[in-house]
Amino acid sequence: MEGIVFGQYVPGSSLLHRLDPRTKIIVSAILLWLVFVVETPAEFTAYGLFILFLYIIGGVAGSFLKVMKPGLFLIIITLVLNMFFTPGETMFSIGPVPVSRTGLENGLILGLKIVYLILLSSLVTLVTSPVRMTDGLEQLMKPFKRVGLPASELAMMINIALRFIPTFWEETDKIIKAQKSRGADFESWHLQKRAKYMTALLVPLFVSSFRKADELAMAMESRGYVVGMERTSLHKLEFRPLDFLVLALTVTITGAFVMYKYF
Amino acid sequence: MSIEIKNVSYVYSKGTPFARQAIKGVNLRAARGEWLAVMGPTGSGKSTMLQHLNGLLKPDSGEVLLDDKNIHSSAASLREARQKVGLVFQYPEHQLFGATVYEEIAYAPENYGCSPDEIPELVQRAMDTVGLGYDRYKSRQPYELSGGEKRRVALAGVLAALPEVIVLDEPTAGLDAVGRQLLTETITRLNRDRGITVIWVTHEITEIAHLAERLIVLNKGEVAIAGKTREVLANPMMSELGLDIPPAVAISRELGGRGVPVRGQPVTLDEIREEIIRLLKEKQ
Repeated sequence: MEGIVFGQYVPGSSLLHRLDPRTKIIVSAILLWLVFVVETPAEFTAYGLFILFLYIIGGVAGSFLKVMKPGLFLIIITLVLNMFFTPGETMFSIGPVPVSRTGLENGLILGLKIVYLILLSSLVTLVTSPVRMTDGLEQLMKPFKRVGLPASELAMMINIALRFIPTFWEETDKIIKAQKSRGADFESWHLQKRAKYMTALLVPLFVSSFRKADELAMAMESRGYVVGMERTSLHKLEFRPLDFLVLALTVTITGAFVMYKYF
Repeated sequence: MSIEIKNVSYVYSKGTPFARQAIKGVNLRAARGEWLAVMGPTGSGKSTMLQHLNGLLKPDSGEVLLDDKNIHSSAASLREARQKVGLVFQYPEHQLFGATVYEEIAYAPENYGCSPDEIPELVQRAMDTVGLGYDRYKSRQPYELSGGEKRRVALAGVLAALPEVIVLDEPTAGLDAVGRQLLTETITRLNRDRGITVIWVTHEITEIAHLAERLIVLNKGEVAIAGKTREVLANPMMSELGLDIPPAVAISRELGGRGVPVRGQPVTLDEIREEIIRLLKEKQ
């Protein structure tokens, strides 16, 4: 379980680290949307290189491959399902099962899109500290407060969820090791046995999650956290020229790309 | 069984920005029936070293030998190491999942393929060892037990697989005085009566200073001091590393500094009391 970095923050002082969290959230929303616009192989290649470029200037290029690890399973499933279950011109067969050209193409495109989505969303958490991320989300959701959206609570929930991903993995790792020490074999191919091993993992994991949630709630309350109370933050967020520049560039380039593509 | 770690190094998260050398060229050997204590400041690599003992982690370099056989030489030898080396993690009660105490303790023997006829006996023996009455506790739910009882259930869950080496990571942390004593007594009995090798990681060396024959101190992933427990405790480096020493050792050191040489390297309060009485008599 070691080495999973999804939702983890890598401290640094790169260009991406210094951007306002609101800028990063808005830009990443645009970039995520753009994943669904990209179509041709050339566009896919260019976009992939662009994402790699972002990782490099963010100083987190080392995490590029690592973040895809948890999504790999999903990608393979997507590819396989599409390969076999899309009707169309048969390209080749694996045993008696025909593989259609459209299926393979769809599978590849969908798989690649999932990869890009994971890469982009992970990048934001890699270069934004959870506290700043929460502040950013809260600020962005503020206008919706008037229509009854609990902006600060939502932001706090997202922050806690992100903060606890690594903790949760650590706990999982610890329990897996403890049960392995008692002879559990989590790689077993025997389905019935495997189900039994999973029980030995999931039950303690559930119990510990509830215990942690309880403890966290207690710690927050004892430090004066009250739901719905107006709170100020220690570090005020501030848009700087760099943020405006990045936002303007993103909007212009995306706009130009969409214009060129559809008109 | 004897267990040995030879020149073992391990790096976490290899090839990422989080890469961290946890242990570096660590050597350790415990002969059959020996009691070995391990100390070290937080982050000194104690837990990483422990996880090598039953093959949960595979060393980047170096080897782990069980009765002089490399445990990573085959899948069978790894499996044997898992069974023969019982690893009790920190706060082992967090791993409980069974609906009943019986089910919980029977888990390891079932996994190691013991025949269904012998499992009840294994469970009963393990429960006796940790001082939980079989008839009274077997059908109870682990979650309704007290903290100390839960920990004993978890320990029994490891003992039921009949390990010949038992490795404990701060087993008394968070227990009350009675719980600590019960646990120490249980391990002492296993060590004396059944010749089980014990490797005990602790911050509270006072509890076992008179029980462990040898003490190994880790610092920053390397063995800083190793030797007979009494001699290691007398080493001034212990305080430099910020490690607790038993009051008896602190008193001897103080007396020695004031020109009163203490004999026999006492580690318990009883021992130092005897020694002080002897010194006073001598003076008269």
